[in-house]
Amino acid sequence: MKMNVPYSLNILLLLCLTCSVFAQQSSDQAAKESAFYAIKDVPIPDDVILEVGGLAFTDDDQLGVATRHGEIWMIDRPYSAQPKYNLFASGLHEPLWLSYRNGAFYTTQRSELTKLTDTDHDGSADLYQTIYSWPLSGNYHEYSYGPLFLPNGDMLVTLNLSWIGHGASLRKWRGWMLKITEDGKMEPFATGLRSPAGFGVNAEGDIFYAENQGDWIGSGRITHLEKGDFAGNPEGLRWSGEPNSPLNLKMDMIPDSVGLMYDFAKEIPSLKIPTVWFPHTIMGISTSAILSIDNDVFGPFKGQLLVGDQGHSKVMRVFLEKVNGEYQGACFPFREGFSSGILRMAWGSDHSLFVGMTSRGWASTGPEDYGLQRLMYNNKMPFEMKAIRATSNGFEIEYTQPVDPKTASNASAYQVTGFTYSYHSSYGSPIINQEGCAIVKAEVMDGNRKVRLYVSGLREGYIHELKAPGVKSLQGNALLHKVAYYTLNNLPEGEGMDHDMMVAQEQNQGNTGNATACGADPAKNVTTQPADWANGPDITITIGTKPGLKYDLEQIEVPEGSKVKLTFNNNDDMLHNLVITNPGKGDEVGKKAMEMGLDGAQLAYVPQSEDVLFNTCLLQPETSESIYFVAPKAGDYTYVCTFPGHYLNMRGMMKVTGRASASGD
Amino acid sequence: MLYKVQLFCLLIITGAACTNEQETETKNGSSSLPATTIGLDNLNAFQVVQATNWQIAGDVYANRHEDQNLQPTEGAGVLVNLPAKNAGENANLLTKLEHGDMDLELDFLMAKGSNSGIYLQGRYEVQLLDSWLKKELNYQDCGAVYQGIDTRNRFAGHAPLLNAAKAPGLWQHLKIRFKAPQFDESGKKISNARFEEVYLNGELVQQQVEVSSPTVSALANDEKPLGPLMLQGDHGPVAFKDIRYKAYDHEQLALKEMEFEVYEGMYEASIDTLTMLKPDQSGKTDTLSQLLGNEHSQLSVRGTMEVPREGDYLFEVKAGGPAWLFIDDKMVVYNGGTHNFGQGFYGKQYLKAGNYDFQIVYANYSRSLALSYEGPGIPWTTLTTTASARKQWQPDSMVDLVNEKPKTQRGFMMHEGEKDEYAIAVGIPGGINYAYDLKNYNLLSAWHGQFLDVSEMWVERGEPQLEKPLGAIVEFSGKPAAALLKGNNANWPDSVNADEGILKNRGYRMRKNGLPVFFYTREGVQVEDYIYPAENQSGLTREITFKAGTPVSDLYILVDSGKAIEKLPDGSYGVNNKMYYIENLKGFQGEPEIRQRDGSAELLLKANASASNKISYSIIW
Repeated sequence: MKMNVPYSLNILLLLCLTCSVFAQQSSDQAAKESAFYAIKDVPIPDDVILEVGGLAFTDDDQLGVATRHGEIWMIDRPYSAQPKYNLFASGLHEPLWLSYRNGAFYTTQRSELTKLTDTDHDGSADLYQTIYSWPLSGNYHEYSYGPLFLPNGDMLVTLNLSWIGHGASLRKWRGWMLKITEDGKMEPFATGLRSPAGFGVNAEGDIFYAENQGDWIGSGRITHLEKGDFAGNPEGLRWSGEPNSPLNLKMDMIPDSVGLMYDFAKEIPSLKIPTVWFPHTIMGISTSAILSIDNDVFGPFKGQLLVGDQGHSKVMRVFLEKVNGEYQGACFPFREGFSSGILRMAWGSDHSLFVGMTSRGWASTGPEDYGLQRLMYNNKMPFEMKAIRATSNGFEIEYTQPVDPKTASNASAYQVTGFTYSYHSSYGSPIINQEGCAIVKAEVMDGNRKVRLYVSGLREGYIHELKAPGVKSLQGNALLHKVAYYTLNNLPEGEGMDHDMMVAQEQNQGNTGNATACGADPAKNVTTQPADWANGPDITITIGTKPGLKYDLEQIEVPEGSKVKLTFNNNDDMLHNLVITNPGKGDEVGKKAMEMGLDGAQLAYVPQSEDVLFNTCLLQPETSESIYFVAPKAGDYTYVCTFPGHYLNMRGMMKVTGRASASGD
Repeated sequence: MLYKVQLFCLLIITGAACTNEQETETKNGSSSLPATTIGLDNLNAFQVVQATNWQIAGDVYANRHEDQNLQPTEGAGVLVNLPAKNAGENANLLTKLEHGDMDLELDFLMAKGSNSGIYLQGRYEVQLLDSWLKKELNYQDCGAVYQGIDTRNRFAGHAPLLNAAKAPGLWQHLKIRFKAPQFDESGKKISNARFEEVYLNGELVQQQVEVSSPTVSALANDEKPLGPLMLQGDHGPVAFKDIRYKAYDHEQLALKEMEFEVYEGMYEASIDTLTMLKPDQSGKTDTLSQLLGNEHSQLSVRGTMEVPREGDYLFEVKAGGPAWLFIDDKMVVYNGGTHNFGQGFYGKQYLKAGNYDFQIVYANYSRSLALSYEGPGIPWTTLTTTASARKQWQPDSMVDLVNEKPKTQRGFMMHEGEKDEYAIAVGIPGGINYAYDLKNYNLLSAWHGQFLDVSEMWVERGEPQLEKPLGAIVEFSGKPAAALLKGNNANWPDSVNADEGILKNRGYRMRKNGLPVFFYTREGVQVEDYIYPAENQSGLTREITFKAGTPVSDLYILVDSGKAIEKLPDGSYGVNNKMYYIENLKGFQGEPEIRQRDGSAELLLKANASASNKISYSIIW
């Protein structure tokens, strides 16, 4: 293996250690999906660190790749087994996007929008032009993304908030989407953004941006942005008094704890509610790229959106419709099992999907530090819910294949549950106001292609989980993905139902979310010193975090039977917990946590399992908690963060040693 | 951070020494007690020598092209050694001060080809040499710890970690943290002398180098707890200024009779609340640690502080959560309630020898509390236990090297103590590098040696996002290079972080040789700025080209501004108190002008009144 990389190779070595973990964790679901959509590696030379920040095809079908080390690689024949890599540009500051237009590349660096041109056609850029630059505070979280070209040649860029224990707009236009012309004229376009790494346009040319869970953001989502919109995080409003601001909403009009965003938006006209919510940990944890499916070659979903997820290394699918003039719709699982954290997606000329990845500093379930893969349709029709449309009294589900009328018309083949998230300044939100909806009737229509569901208990402004586990295709197959999440901002007009009366009270009663729940079993989460520990703990251990989703202590040692006080200090900028599992059970518990679905958040993502011995609560950034327990019998006990997707990286070993001597107790 | 340097003098016992109050100010208070300066108005601070090689001067000039050339000028403040030809007629210079552990800082200036040294306790030498541009370094180079005399178990000397030396004739900065050898009661040595850290021109060149015996040609071959500082005078011409030190003995402040109380819950807004509460736990302790309490509770520790001697004491608190230090009920430090446990807060208190009551209160948010102090003759010492404070995670270094082609890398870089977010670093084969700002289009810094450490950008999230030069940097003022001035009396435009739109059509082109040419248009004048290695890699040559539609008559360029700029006898300019040279100036009208503005000197060139011209000069350091 040729290695002439001049700097430390720690990252690469780390990769190999996690390869075996990846093999185990590649899930059954990914295997099922692979029958319809195949993932193929685009080979990367050993001496190229391709931490993908941006992807863009040139006019002659070469793939440009911007990397977080500031390089732009041109990949010739990216569809072949031996693609050729040519370094087109270098020295950029973490470019997190790439576009190509009229013979030039465009990217954002931390501080500016840059155009790169190869004026002498020797294969590398020789002209680096600054189109527009913006102020920075120097905070690491001030990522900048774009440009996305609009049809008239104007460009959109988005600017992340800083992180200072909470998101903050420390300099002008952080938390905004800006529109910039080729000659450097800037117009602030919309704000309320927190971590807007992905944005794109649908077939109609309307702009959608993807947001990640965080402060003020209960869960991941995509939002349709128009000029003057405020998408929810108030920090960017710091600049709404600027003369060129398209809105004049002020920060102090947003109280710390609002309640429901949907209700509040009725009072605040510029507040734009999410178009489609991606329930946190179920539909990814960090939405990234948005790409419209512009062809029929890739399968039956033309006109829909694909949305990548960095932390869960997967691609999800979105169907949108307009109701009462506003976009809303459903998101569906689509394809998981990519090799690293997905940040960017681009269409190849053969209508395969190129997926560019990086996970440095932001761990992903795909264990590689970086990667470039292609997703290809196998020309085999999956049995999927293709689209879900809202009706005045339920949903209409369109399938990719004719359904078996018997199972599909059985109301008990479906489950619908409504829920939403709190709109508040703290980080994330538990699922709140969760209530089941009764399926009154299911009608098969349109030559078995559609099912009309009559549902009672639908609520405007709520996300509705729609499960169809019992539905079979005419050929007898179960759905490839049995669940979808429809964000019902507007109920179409028409014949309604008496929702209140018909709410299925028996379903999920009292399951209304609890921000302070700390697992299913309080005995595993003892947070006050037991009364019989007269002399206090024998051992006090403090575990914190370090960047890259890791505990700062990856091995601790305690004697068998000792009284342990373990403090977990979440000094990271994301939610974490610490769960001590039986020896060798870390992965199993971590996986179980990922499968907890809507219940996960309420139970701090601590699954009900004998293999969970002790656990902390799910801790907000910059908080800590101590748990007290007596060390079990000698052995190597794994501790993991079971926040979905973290357990592969964020783990350590509690070595319990045998008793040194027989003591009197 | 904000750095403010205060200088003032006052007379102390000898009537000659001068105290140089050079405190490092942070926004959280001064982070250091003042050092003592060795007065250089006369030789009274030194032991009398018969030889005449040492003298006091006002300034010095060394022609960097001429071996052993050093010319003093009349005045005071600079100590100069001009050895006679016959080595036997020259003497080393010893301070009257005898010291043990010591932090020492000074400026020195070497003649071309010269050799000198600083002997701690008269015995352990940090070598000074004209090592400018040398690639292979050994124990005889500038910043080396020189070879020892002990022939049986010889200390072989220790080469500097990198070549941080500047050109002869420029002032250089040396900082040494030295630990004296220690002896038991019978006088037997129990630990060797040690150079904990030596910094040359801001770069760490020695770290924890233990020295088993005095250096060759030391004052004496024995080892003792105390000895004078010795400046070597018999090898070559050298000058010193701003010699300042902190000398330490082994006295310590002690915390005794400590009692702690833990109050569950958080009352950060007012510590007075605590007086109304009953503690949930209490007890006695002989160590100070946040581990006495719990997170989300408040810890109060009271006790007696035994102060060994009178003087100013500086206390530092670093805590994750609000923390207060009281001495005799007076609040000395409060950390403003921060949860950032890496940030230091300072409070200075004059104390007499004796016992004081103290109290420390900590609202425990993120389980980290460190209390440290510096005192008269006492180095920084931490009073809390090691386990009480959390460590800041630091990535391993990740070195980005330049091979056969030049490299560029944008990132954040420090400039004059602040982060510059628009920096581009340029590394040129042969070991010459510079940094440039792509917002204001000016030179930030330059350095000889390797290119960059990028670990703070490319390991994990890269939170500082800093690219760090791998060499001793020369910093430039960062002011814009070109401007249209209404006559040479007009002020230079201050356009730090120029508003977007002032500079148009901007960016850089890559030449075939891989070096960038920066370009922009300002007030209708197209400017190109090309920077390439000067002859023999001695520095950089800068070529600024102007193009305008019509001839412009009032276009100036600012070569740089700094504390002082002087024209030197060889025709070059010494900038910023001889931190670097400007020479080989070409393409301008009339004479270069040195003018004073707001306490800074500026070196201005006026462009020829034409539609197109080129000005160039070299920067040598």
